[in-house]
Amino acid sequence: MREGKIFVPTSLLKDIVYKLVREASVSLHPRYLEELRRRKEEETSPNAQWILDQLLKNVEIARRDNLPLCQDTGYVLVFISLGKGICLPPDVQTTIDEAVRKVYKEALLRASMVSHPLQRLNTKDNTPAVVHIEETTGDGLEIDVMLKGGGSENASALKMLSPAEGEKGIRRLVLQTLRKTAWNACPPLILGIGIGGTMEKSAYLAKKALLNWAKGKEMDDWETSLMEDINRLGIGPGGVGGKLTCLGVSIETAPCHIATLPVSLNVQCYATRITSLWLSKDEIRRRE
Amino acid sequence: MEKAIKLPLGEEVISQLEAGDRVLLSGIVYTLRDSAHKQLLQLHRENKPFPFPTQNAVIYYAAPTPPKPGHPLGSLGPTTASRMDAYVPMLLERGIKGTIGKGRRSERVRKLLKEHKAVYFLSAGGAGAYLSQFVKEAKPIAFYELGPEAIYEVHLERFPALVAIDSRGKSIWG
Repeated sequence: MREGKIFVPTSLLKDIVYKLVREASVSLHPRYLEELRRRKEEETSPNAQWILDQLLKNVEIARRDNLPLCQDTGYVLVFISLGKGICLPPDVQTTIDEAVRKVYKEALLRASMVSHPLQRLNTKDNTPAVVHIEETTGDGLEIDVMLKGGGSENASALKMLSPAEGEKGIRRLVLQTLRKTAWNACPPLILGIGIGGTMEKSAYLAKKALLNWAKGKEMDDWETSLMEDINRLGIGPGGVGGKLTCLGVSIETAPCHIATLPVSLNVQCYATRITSLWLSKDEIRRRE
Repeated sequence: MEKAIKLPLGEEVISQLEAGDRVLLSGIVYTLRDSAHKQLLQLHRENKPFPFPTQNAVIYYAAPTPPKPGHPLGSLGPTTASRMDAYVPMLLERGIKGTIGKGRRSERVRKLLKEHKAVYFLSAGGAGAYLSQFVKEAKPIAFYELGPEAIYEVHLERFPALVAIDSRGKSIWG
């Protein structure tokens, strides 16, 4: 073992993922809930209020009865951020899939994964999970789990814009996409936008943008004005028409090629299920 | 004010439903989504009977989470209806008169519903825990191998929904 390195035990990784999935499945993310409560009075359409009322009751019943917030208990995304000197055990994917298999069975969550996109046979245990690992300059180990439903993922989009299209082109893409897709994506939505990088990196950034919103990132002027434009589309909660289509926009950017402007839009539905855990080096050491 | 509606949907009841009406649905519905539709289409092409009575029946586009012991189902909210748009002609030809789902439907579906005097109900997408409170009984009845996508016979009691497209082809989206 090299000096200064700390190894995360397999059992610890498995335990964390199990607990974070279990907790996420029955709870609406606190920031989403806070925004929903704070802004529901803005909605004046009776049908939209009828939807909002059910979405709020849903949070209470899921908590009270320990029932999945939404029957689409999603695919499992695991984001692992490694601080300086933190090392993962071998077979990370296998370990995480074991945790997913166990928690989907024990917590009575729905198996929603198919093993092949065209043959479409259910894997029956919701594996595999999608795992992203990043090195950070921070300390300790951070794990975020996101349960992401299919309906909102289908409302997402990726486009390679021309650099000349710039901010205007991005706004156009956002509004054109959501005008078509947001009805079906269980609004009020959160929109994550990834700009720059490469094609696949922009998609990753869009998802990270959702995660960062959940972690409390404040909206800047551009994000706020995009949100306001989305809310002017009139789609409303549940797509029944109304003012509250979007509760937040979050943008992440990355350097890109002189010829490109990749833009990805990732839509998060009402059922925002994200849980996180941070462990210091000492806490990991105690479990080694 | 909500209208209490008994299922299956009789002709008279259907004609009273108007886009924008809030209703409470009681009676039997059948869950159906992507993969089960595909299997029904096979039966339809071979002119074989469906595994449930279709006359005046209502379909719920949904797939539940597994039940706790002593409960009929876990959570059960609607899935996106427009993914099933292509299968609507088949359902209507079989005498099905209503579907429950979330989101908008195609212009073609609106016209078909008008032609066949059928309706589309919208329910609250994402509210699976809340909506499961209105499920009294449930059991899978066909395509068991599809797991959550099997067809379930579900007994609803005062399930809240909104008439999004009525039998005259009027919709809440204008």
